[in-house]
Amino acid sequence: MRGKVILVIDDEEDFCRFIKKSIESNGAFQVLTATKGSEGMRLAKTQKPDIILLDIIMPGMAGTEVAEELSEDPLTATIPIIYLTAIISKEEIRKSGGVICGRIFMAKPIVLNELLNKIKTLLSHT
Amino acid sequence: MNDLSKTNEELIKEISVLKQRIQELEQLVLDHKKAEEHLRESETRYRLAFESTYDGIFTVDRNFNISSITPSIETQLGYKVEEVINRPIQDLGILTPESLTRAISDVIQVLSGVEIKCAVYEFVAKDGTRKIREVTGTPIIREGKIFGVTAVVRDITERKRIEKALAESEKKHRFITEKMTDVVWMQDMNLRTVYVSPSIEAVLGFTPEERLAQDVHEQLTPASMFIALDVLAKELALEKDGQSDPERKLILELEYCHKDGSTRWIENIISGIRDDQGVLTGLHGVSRDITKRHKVEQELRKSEQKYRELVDFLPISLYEMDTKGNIISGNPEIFKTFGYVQDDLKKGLNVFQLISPQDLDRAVETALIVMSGKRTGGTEYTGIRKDGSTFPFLNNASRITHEGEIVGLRGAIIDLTQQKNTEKKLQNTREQLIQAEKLASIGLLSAGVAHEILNPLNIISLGLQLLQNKATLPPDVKEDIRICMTHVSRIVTIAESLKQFSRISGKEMVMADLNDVIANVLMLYSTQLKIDGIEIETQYQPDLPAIFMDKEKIEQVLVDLISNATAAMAEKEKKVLRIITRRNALTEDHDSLMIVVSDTGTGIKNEDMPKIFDPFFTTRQGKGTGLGLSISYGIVTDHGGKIWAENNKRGGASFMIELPVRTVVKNDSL
Repeated sequence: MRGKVILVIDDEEDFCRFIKKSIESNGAFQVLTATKGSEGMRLAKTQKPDIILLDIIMPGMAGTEVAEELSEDPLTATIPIIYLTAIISKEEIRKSGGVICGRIFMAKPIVLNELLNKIKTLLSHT
Repeated sequence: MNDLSKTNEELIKEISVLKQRIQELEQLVLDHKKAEEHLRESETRYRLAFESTYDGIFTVDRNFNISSITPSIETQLGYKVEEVINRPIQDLGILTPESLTRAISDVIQVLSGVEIKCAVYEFVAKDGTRKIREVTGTPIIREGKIFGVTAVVRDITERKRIEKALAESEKKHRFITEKMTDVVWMQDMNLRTVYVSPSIEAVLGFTPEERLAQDVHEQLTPASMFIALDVLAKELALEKDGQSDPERKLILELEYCHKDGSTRWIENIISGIRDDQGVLTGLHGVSRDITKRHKVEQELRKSEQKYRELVDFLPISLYEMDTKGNIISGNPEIFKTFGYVQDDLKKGLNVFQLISPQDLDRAVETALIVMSGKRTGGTEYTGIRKDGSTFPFLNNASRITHEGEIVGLRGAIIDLTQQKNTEKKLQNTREQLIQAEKLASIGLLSAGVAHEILNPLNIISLGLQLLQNKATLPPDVKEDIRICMTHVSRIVTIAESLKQFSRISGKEMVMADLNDVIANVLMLYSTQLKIDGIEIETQYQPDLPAIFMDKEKIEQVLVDLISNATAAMAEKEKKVLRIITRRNALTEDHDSLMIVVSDTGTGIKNEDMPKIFDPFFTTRQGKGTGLGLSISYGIVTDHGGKIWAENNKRGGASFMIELPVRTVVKNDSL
């Protein structure tokens, strides 16, 4: 498996640092991080990551906005997105099997193993 | 006789005549002697009378000198004859100045030939005492000329005393007759009046003579007549038994006819008249007009009746008690309030039986204050009914005084049960409003707060997970990290719950059958409940109308209540979860469905009751978030409903949810 590129867009810089360390230490992943929606958008378009981990509530350009723009660009429209959020509870996500209206959600705080499994699953489909 | 020619026969005749003459003379002497004796007797009698009846006689000459005086002056006035004789009367000081003036004027009058009869003078004795004497003055006439006055003095002290006593007695008698309004009377056994005092006229207009001629039925009104005869019959029966007190007195109020056609109420104090053998021969009595008193009494009675009716009618409990707290009287309401009957008073009922023991000290204290004359205002106590149940009441008391002495307390009691219920309802409503406010503001914040908490927590969590995955860590450090992770989880649970304060959205509202929703939840939890040893009892009212609801949220409320009930019953032997539904269709505006979730658990402490719907309030330290009930509260109120809790009488608690049947759902989700 060649080194897959994962783009993390989250306004929490420390989160980005930890998630990068965590994922990279668990497999042949390259993790790119962006703490602003606009920056994440630029990276997505330029780096064409395999998966995007996207925070929803962010100052400036919100996660939903980023996702919308990405879906409008054919180059990025197909990149799977995992929404990492604190606004939907674990319980709800659990009940819905993690997919709400066709979107993949993971509740914060992230359980690392769950996230890695999800990433691996998604990558195996592509 | 010298005639010799007289015959012997003639001489014998002459002798006979002489003998008769001698007899006549002898008789004359005898008569003279008799007359003399008679005179002497008479003189003695007059002298005695003079000495005993008259104080004395004195004579006054034309110069007012006392020319002669009887020695009795000494016994009468203390002067010796020689002290007064030949001295002018005006110099002697034997008369008071007023009497002397009259006396001189009277002497002048007598000297002019006019007799003075019974002039009353006041004499002054030598020792200064005063003596009233009656004096009759007659002129002394010698050879046709008046040259002095004879004065006869008579002691009239006794007469004056008698006269005075008589006058006083008469005055008294007149006063009694005029002023006495009591009538004294006597009747024979046929009730015929045999004596009546003159005062009858002042009282009833009839003279005593008219009264004596009257029959008893002419004296009394028919009603009083009936009473009088009835009483008499009873008394006579008693008399027959021989057990009655012969000295007894009877007081009888009767209505009498007045001469003017009106009537008078008269109080009679009647006793019997008995002969030497003690046999009743008549009645005597003293009667007094009490018409005015009777009228006042009647008015009082009417007024009393009016007040009694008012008191009996009032929905306030009224009572009177003595200083020891014994209830003396009460109106029907007080007996009703405390569950007693009037008869219980006879057995003795103390006010302290009616007050809860913990209020007794306060009650005694208040009673003492009231008896001291101060006002305390209303005091609240817990009352005890005859059946032992309790209720709150308000007492207002004042002291009762009789002839200046405090004899007890009089008070009014108001049952506060209804008021308390209303207050409680108001309080509940107020609390619900506050709760709703609280939840609304929390709702506004919570989602944001949750997000703000979860994000940093996410970082901590991830950091910890990173550390945990380091193979080189010593085991105890790994354990410490694990502990930190569990507490991270706790924060997550709280934050997650907080997010639920976001309001329900109209999109999720559907028409659903409440009984189905409950049955569905119970089905999901039945296995767990069985494991926990909980018995389920359901009582669904069939055919409930479907109501507009967010099924998921209502399910969430039910799950929360079931979960609370399970926790409350954990330590109990008997674990019963009872769920009841029913419809409260009171009016078109008030049509609702009720869900009651009861358990047999530990119940809710009174002090906790107001806080159970507060966010973060929990009795399960470390286990609950304290958000379940407040979220349920938010959900129910968002449905336009109400949720509240009560402790069951036989232990455990019940949660009541009321959901409106027709309602416009609020659609102001956050």
